[in-house]
Amino acid sequence: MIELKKISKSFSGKCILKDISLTAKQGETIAVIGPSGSGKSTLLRCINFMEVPDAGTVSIGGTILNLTNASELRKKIGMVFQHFHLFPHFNVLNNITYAPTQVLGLNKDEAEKRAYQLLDQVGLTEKANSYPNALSGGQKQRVAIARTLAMNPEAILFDEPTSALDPEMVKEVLAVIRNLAHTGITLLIVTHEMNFAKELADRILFMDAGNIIEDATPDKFFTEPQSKRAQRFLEKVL
Amino acid sequence: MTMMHNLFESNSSAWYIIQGAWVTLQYAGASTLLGFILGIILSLFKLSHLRPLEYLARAYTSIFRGTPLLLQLSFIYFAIPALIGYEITAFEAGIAAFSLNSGAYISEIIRAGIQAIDKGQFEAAQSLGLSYLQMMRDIILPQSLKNILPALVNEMVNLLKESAIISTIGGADLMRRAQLVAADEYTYFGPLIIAGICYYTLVLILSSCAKLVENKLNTATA
Repeated sequence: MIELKKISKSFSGKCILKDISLTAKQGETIAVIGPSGSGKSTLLRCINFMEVPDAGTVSIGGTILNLTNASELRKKIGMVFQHFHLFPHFNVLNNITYAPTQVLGLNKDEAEKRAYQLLDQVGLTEKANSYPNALSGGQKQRVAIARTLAMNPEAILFDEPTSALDPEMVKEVLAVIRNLAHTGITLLIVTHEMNFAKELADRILFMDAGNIIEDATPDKFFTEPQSKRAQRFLEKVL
Repeated sequence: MTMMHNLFESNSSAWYIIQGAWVTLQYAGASTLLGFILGIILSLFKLSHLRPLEYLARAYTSIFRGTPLLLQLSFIYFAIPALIGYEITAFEAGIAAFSLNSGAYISEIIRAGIQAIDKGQFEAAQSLGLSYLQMMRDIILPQSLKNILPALVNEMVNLLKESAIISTIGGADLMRRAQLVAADEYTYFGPLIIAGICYYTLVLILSSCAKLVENKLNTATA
């Protein structure tokens, strides 16, 4: 479904991604882990052209992404950010219904009905008319997930969805993500939550210095990592 | 005492001056509106990453901020009609000059307002597949407007006061009417005081309206 071929990206001369290739099948849940600065987020952001790769191709469902069709293909690929990025001038309901009505052309009633289903799914029905700044971090992130789901995406990219949250709010967000896994949506999750990755993911990608060093099942990766770098990393975080 | 008496006596000329407030308000209102529209377009040009549009907008701003408003007004009222042989009214010339001039200033205000918006807002909008127009119209500009409202009101207040130079080409605004009455009645004190009070009242009304709108916007998202 998502296919990256020899992606490279550098920022002001500093090479962040080196010749990365990756295929994600429809419905797969993939956790991307690794030390800070290893290129995890950049990799994720290249998939929907938030960052345009310097070299290589990204294809979504067989279509190769370029600057012209990026906006069209982004409708199929949701993104959840570390800092939520809800629209502060819209209430929760409008945050969720805006894109479906404006981009997909749903009528208001359909969009609101779907929004209430999603709010129920993330446990925030009573917040429909609140504004984002009246919500806690965990609540904001759950609304952000609902906003993404409202577009019925084929894949969702999670860019450290719990890294900006207070510890007691991490759980509620992870619970929402957990319920999305293996429902047919492809999930790519950049995360520092090792236990979560272990429990949920079909595949673990371990990145370091712009390369994917290991690509294995959680069992294999966490019990017998192949590379020295992954072994050292796991010793520190587990 | 005599002055008060005189003012009372010339009640009709006082009323004549006060009616000029409406003319002044028309200049300021229409020019702010047109200048605002022009300002949005120019600011988007400046941020477009398309070199020709960027340069065009920057050159425009530079020229209109770098020459006196009085010169621009005279140019539009006297020079251009002489060149193309089209008669332009003082009102049209005034609106044109003030709009073109304030467009330059407002474009800088809006540009700064857009650049102050968190990059994440652009990314969230793009990741949902919004078009550039949708993103700017519904996500970015509404948020910027809230932040730049005080600067915009400031610009409108400036315009309101600066519009007094329309009197130099004969527009019957507050200032012009005060001068006419002064010349007619051989006294400057009364007419100028009346015009001054009118300007000041308009500015106060404008500022308090802006304050109300600002508070409303703040409570809406609080």
